[in-house]
Amino acid sequence: MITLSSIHESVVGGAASFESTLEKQLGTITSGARINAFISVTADRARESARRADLELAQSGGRIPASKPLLGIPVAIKDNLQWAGSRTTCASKMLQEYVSPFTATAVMRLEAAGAVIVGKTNLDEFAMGGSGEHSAFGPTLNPADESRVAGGSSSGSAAAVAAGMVPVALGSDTGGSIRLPASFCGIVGLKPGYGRVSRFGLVAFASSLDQVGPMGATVSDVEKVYRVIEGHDPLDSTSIAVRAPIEHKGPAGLRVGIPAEFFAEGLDPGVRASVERALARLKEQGAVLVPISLPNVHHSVACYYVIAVAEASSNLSRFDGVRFGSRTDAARSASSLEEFYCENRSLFGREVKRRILLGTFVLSSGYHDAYYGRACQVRELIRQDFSSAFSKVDLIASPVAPAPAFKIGEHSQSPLQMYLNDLYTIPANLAGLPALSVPVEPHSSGLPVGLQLMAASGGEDLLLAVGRTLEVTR
Amino acid sequence: MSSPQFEAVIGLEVHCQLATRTKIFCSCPASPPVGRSVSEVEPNSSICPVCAGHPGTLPVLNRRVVEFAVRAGVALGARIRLKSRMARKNYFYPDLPRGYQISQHEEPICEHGSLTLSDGTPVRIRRIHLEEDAGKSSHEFGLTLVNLNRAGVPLIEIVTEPDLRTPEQAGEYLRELHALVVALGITQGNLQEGNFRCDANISMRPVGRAELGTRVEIKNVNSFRFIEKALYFEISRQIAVLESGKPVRQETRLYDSGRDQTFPMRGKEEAEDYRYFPDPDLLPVCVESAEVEKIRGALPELPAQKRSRWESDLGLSPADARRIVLDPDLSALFEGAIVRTTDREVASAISHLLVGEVSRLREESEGKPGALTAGHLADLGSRISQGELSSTAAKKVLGLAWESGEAIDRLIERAGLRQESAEDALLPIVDAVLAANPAAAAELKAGKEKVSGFLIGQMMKRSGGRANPEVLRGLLQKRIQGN
Repeated sequence: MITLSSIHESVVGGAASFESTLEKQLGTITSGARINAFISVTADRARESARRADLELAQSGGRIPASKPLLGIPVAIKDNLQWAGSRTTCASKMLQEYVSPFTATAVMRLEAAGAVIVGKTNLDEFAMGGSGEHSAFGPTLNPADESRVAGGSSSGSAAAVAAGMVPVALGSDTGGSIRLPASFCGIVGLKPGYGRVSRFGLVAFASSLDQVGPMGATVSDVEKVYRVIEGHDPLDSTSIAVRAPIEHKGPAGLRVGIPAEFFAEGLDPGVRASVERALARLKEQGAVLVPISLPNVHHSVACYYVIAVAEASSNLSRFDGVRFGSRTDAARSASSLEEFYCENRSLFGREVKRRILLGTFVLSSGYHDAYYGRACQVRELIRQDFSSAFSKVDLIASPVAPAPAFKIGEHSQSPLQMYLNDLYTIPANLAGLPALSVPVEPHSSGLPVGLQLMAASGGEDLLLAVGRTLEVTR
Repeated sequence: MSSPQFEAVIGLEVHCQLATRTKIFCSCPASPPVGRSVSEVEPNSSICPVCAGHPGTLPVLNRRVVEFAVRAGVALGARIRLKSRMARKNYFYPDLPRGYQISQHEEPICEHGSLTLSDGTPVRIRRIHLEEDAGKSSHEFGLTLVNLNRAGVPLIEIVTEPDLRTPEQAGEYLRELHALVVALGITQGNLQEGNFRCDANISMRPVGRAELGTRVEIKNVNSFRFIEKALYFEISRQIAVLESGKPVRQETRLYDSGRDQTFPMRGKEEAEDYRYFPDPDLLPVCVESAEVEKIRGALPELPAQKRSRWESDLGLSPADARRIVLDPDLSALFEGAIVRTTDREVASAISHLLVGEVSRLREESEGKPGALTAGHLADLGSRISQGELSSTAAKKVLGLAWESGEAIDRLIERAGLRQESAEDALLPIVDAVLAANPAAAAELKAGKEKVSGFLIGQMMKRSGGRANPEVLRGLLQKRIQGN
């Protein structure tokens, strides 16, 4: 893997230019094309920004200006983030020809910080999936073992970092979509707390759960990107103002909650072993491990698959082929409005259709209260579980996923099995909390394993500080 | 229409377009530039990725919309919810860009208001909620054309309880409400432009029964007269259905003003399931109670208050006061004209001109505004009350002012219409008319007072309408008694 700091070191030291660095990375992207990490590679635009970055570096006396912490850094963007002038497909046939008319706030902030965007990465269609297999452009392969899934939905961003194509990438996380692929691919991924990063320009899956976040080779690279993209955005009413970062020394004296529910039945013994060794290291560094309970988290998956699909069914209504997106031939010759919608919306993939149908059902009159209404109440209980836990502990630690990356196609017959992969990641989305996935000692099979750290609202700095020490001692 | 057995139960829903500069969730202009109509704006020119519903866009609530809704709520005596929620109303239609309309469902911003009609009937307002308008579809050349300029234009929906019993009451409620929201400055109130659209729910029930009959909805009528006519039609239609022993079908109907009847709206038979849920993209709409009080304190004088002030302070008849207050153009002219007077005679002369001649001229010019100003009216009013101008002459001058907009003074000169009150000047006219009508003169002398009207009329005619009839009457009296 390549890191942000190594690029800056070599360019500032005169060993390379941003342009030559970019060419090298584009070469890695091309030679790793079988990984299927990218849906679009925007080489020409990237070359232009790399040249501009070299010029800016020269103008600032060969130093990285403080206002441009990402100057010249190749970055990949998940293809559900709008970037004006590029295709934004969401890995769907529905948007295969859709060109962004505007740029997402997070992407705009990356560009303003000097980043060189190299392309748009693969994902599960509309970010719906945990494996990276549900893409109209084919599955993303896991660079650690190409017969295995990269994890999803930010599969391409994770694989691009893991394969050394880019040091950092943007992903989005609705129920684990940053953390899961990060752990499967052996990289770092941060899901910021809800509202920390503007969602403007992120194609919505489930608006109350979606969050844009950074993925990278190291915790400090992830932190650099996070500092650039965080903060209030007048275009997103749910975004919140940034506070000055809080300095944290590391694990010494911290109380780390170990929720019994996250180490229960269904956890792969190898994953458990890796995670427990990481926890032991935290303890060695002076952290106090506190057994805790989150009594309602076992409802998380059910709760999530009601709320997320309900919001998704509404969010995806706009894809009707009237104003943008693709129109099928059958839709073009439709004889009624209903036929037009039916034909055109057949462009959605199976998983997306499944979730739209589920979401429409749980909001329907007669079922609304029993499903959607109930799920909202359960969500509140889960929130309360966390707030009472965080009155006792500073952090909560758990595995990211119950098992390491599985074989491509292994779960394709069982959506439910697939949904259970999100068991440990979903609660942080439901509660709106920040969570970090850091690679720990690999699984006995050699596959990467991720440790998840969750903090109370506003605890991103703490997560990053503790994550950094885990990385150093890895 | 009146059937002794049935009574109508009517509830109204008004969609009032708010006169904000920008749309409810983005910064596109909410209405055409001043002086232009909606139809003059290039289709799909006032849109952006947000109001066109592009993926990844998010709504940001225009605070002005909240302020306007609170203003309406306070003026209608409603309870203001300090924390309300925006909700998504999900349905598919090509002119609904996101596939859902952002509205309010379970927690509207205002509830429990009321408006009292002239017969004392209180009409309860169930709720006032915020929402966005959809775009406009038109069907031409076998195509459906979608114009999204209107998508995202802010609306408030004002919903009554089913408290109305007659089409007249419905009409009066709408006129009163319209005058109110216009006076509040929250809407342009232009009916032709669709700024104030009404849906009516109407059912019939036997007089004396409490439970309601099957309800029919009449959608999107944008004229008060048409709503009344549509309701009249529905009442007779439903009574005929009921009397034939059949049930009334629950349906949505449209009103065809050309044929003066309602007909079922096609494709609306299926019950819609809007799958409402709180919009996660928007925070709860919060209003501070201090803000509500500030808005309450800054309310302008409302039409009902204005009307009673005009009646008590200026002596206007209740009918004239009502007529003027409910008509935004007339009340603007009236208020402008009485700025510098408290004289009851002047005010009453002005009100007569407005209700009579001005209304007539406006109708003749099909609603187009003439060049008439409040200044003209003030001038005319004081001249009439001082006897400088007869009411006949005043009408003539008013007509000229409507056309040209020139100063009253100049118009009177030009038309030679200054009222003549000088006895010296009028005496020859009196004599000439008496000489020309010896029989009538003789009758008057014999005590037949009636003929004096005829004689004075002749004199007015001879003077070209300029003579002061009171002076003529005095002179005539003198001549008859004197000879």
